[in-house]
Amino acid sequence: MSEEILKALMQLFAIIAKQDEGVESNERDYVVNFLTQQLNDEAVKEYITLFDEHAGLNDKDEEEEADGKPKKRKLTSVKDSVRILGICKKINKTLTQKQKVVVLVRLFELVNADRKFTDQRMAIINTVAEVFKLSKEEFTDIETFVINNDPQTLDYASILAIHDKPEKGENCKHIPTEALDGYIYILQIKASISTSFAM
Amino acid sequence: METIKIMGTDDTPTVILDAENDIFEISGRSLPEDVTAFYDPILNWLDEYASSPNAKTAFNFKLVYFNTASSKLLLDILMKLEQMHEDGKDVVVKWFYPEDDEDMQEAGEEYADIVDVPFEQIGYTLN
Repeated sequence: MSEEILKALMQLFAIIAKQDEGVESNERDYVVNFLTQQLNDEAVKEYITLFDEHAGLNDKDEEEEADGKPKKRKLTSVKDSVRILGICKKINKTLTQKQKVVVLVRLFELVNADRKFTDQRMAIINTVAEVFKLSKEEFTDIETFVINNDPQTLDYASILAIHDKPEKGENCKHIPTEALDGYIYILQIKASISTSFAM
Repeated sequence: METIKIMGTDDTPTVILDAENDIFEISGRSLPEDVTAFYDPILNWLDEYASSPNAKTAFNFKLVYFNTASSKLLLDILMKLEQMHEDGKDVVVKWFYPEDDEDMQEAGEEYADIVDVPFEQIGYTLN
């Protein structure tokens, strides 16, 4: 992933995570883990600093109200809403449709880290998907795949399940294997492109 | 061509699209429950207007708040104005913001960066 796209992704992560009552620790942990998988330690620090800046985590005033009570839920700022559009337009010029699907998966994973599927967070993800011109089918498949933490609920046509358990599901494809202790589920995004994710 | 006049509510903006009197304005708050249903007639009206526009089109945005879903539809409107500009039509976007509202001012600046159309930022004092 290029430096420009990582920076854009940090901004998107930060804008989503700062919604409602602000960044949850699980969400920040997700960003650190995501960066650790992509970069060396020094670069992780650089990008997490960028995330913290955009999320307002370095601003003491953002942490709590003057009376010491936790921050109240705020509406998404108009500036952030338009900034999201600008970031996505930039991504549109740089990434392929497959790569944009990966970005959407990462955004869902961020929100799933704290399972905080609020209207504001989801409105941003919906808008990102619209600017990326992803279909409703692609959006729903990704959403269902990422937010269902119980893999046995993943019984739909774009899923390939690999396990040795008796329950095969009615709609998903299934490869039986005795060599696996657990489950592997693979999602195929096939509306306008073909790409796969495993969990 | 038919005029669109929609009176604003707490969640929907006032919209006046009146080609005969040279009034093109969206103002107020935009958080419609069904953002597509609200903005579709406006986008369709602009499509029709773009085929035979006035000598000059000054489109006023005078919003005090809009949500994320609305921001995308506002961009769609701006992109239609951008297309008219690219087609050689005389188009200007006037982005009004309350003088003490830095967010709304910067939102206008962000839009101006995204679309290639003459863009004027105008601060005003809320009564």
